[in-house]
Amino acid sequence: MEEQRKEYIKLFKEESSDYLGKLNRIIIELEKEPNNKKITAEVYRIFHTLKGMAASLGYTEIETISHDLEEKLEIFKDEEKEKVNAEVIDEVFKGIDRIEHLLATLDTPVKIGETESGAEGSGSLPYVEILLKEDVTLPAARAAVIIQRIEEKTKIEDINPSYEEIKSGNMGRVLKVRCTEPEKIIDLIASMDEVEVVKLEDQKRDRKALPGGIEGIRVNVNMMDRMQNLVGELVVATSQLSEIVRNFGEEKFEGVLELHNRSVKELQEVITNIRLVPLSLIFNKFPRYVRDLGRKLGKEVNIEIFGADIEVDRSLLEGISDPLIHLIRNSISHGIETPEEREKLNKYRVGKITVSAKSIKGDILIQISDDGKGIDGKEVLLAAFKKGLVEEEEIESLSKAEILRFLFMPGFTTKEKADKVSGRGVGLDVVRKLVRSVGGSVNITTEKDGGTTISMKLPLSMSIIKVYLLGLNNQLFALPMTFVDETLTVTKDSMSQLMGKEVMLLRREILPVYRLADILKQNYSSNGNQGAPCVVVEVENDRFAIVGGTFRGSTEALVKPLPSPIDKIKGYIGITMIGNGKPCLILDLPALRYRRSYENTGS
Amino acid sequence: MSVRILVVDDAIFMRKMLADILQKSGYEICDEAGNGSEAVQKYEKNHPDLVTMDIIMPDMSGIDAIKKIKELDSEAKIVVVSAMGHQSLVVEAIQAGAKDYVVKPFQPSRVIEAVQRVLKL
Repeated sequence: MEEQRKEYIKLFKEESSDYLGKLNRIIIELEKEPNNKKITAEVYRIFHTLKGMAASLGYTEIETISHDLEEKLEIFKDEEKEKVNAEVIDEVFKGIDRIEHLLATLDTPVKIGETESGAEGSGSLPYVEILLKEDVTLPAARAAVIIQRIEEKTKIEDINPSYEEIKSGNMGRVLKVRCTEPEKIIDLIASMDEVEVVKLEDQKRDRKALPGGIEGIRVNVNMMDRMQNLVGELVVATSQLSEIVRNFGEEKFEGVLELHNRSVKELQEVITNIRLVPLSLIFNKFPRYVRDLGRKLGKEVNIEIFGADIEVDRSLLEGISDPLIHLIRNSISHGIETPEEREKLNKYRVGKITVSAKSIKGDILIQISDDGKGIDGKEVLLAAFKKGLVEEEEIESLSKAEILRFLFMPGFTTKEKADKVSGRGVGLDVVRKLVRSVGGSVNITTEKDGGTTISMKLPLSMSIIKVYLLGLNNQLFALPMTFVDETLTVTKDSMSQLMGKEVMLLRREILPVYRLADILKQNYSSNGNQGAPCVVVEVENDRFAIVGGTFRGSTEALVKPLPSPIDKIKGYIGITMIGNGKPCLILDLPALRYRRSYENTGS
Repeated sequence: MSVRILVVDDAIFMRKMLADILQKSGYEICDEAGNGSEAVQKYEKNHPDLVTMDIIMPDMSGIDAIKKIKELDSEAKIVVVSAMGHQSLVVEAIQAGAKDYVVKPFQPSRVIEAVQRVLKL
């Protein structure tokens, strides 16, 4: 009996947190369109179900709150719509929070990562998610054109934002369309003007729906980490083994080795997949956060989300959760103007924040853009000058990227002082630090009065990464593939000097040159005018070339932290073992770039 | 046979600019109109392959003209040319049946791209 009750409680908790997650989302929609009968009915139904479930288990407080909230929502039903206001919605949210808190204190723990079921509502057709280009002109009009094209091909069932919102200009960069034959229109939309990405929303997210009622098993995260580490070791041992077998030249081994290789590879894939969780686990919390903070600061803000179904390693997800919240807070408090200011600027009253995620060549790109006031380069420069970060004679020569780089310096702010709500820029250094600690990089682009976009590029997994290998003086060094753009061979002719620094010309672009030997503080002998290997990297708005050494191909590497005492040496993110069993240092490319820029300002 | 385009705008200056851009790319300007009702008349008379349509014009607005032209010819291909601040009107024009849009002030390439896209439909 006791067992059975536990089982009920567990079910109740899981189901209820699904419902609460959903309420958080759809009540925000209801606030925007109080006349939407469908959502009203849905909200009612959910509170009613919650009430029923809580009552049957004897959780009277949850029951009472649900009942009160149900009553509060009467205003949506009757001819009392004029009573709908932000205060009432606030109260409803407060109630939801209270229920959430009560649920959390019930005696059976709920599995993290299983709350909030994936697909919206009916689970019928998936949405086609469309992300417009960053510099789209009249996004609402572009959305209307896209909708028109889709309607020519197939029947549209639902559009988000609604056509009314689009008409009123309340449209950012994300359009979601549910239609009868989504596959038919994907290519069509992808080929359209001003469209950046189109994808079908992934409905596989609902992981609880395993056949036979089995819900999977609970796995301790530490155990999972250990398992992944072991597999990583196995991968490395396997490539060492391969090398030995190759040198040995014994055919008998090769068949077994291939089987072994394949199994290890598959095992690695399985482990990687087990650790994946959808970004929606944190993305779904944003709408509520944006609404609440917007209200607190007297701003009207909408958020739109693209690519929430993309999956990442769970430790990565944990790592980026705080930086993302931080950036959204920045956007609302410093980016988005008040409704009055926006109207004066001929902007739509309601500000827009777009959070988008997409995968590019095995990396994940997450962007947070707002259509707020942007960052004034002049103000940044002035603040930098006051802080003594830049000399007067240098001011003219700094590029926009170089100016924006000041924003990432510890404690940098454009506000004079004593302003408790800090100026934009405070905390960006922290964001960058956190993102780098999971092996990623941060970029910023901004336009005065046009808004700001912050991009985070992240590896899919933190512990096994793809690397590019360079050899020097019988040693191997690894560059994380996330930053590698291309590799080529350069001759002395394409090198020259610019302001005392070595540069090279690549397709009309001037790239700063770093000599591998200089980076590693080793001696090297130039091989005359023969071609030297060159790796072009792009790190946080900057492109540069690493020249020297010998190409040694690419491989997957298990990243291990540097052991003490060499962890004091700056410039490396870790160490890995390569095929021949030799240790190989992995270069910290973002840090490298900063080293150079400090040298620059110093000279 | 070249593609025939009807250019509609209440400003002679804008008509001239659009006509120059389009002619340079090998399109034929079959006629021009300075307001909505003139646009409808000239559409009926010329049956052009494509129309570039301003939205805010005296007499009859571009949106009403689009609706009228669509009644005459449901296959009519219309590109809206509008100022930046009129997003809602552009959305309305597209709902009325315009196929694409260009924002003033425009770069010649944007005009040609939009025209090419719509002609391909």
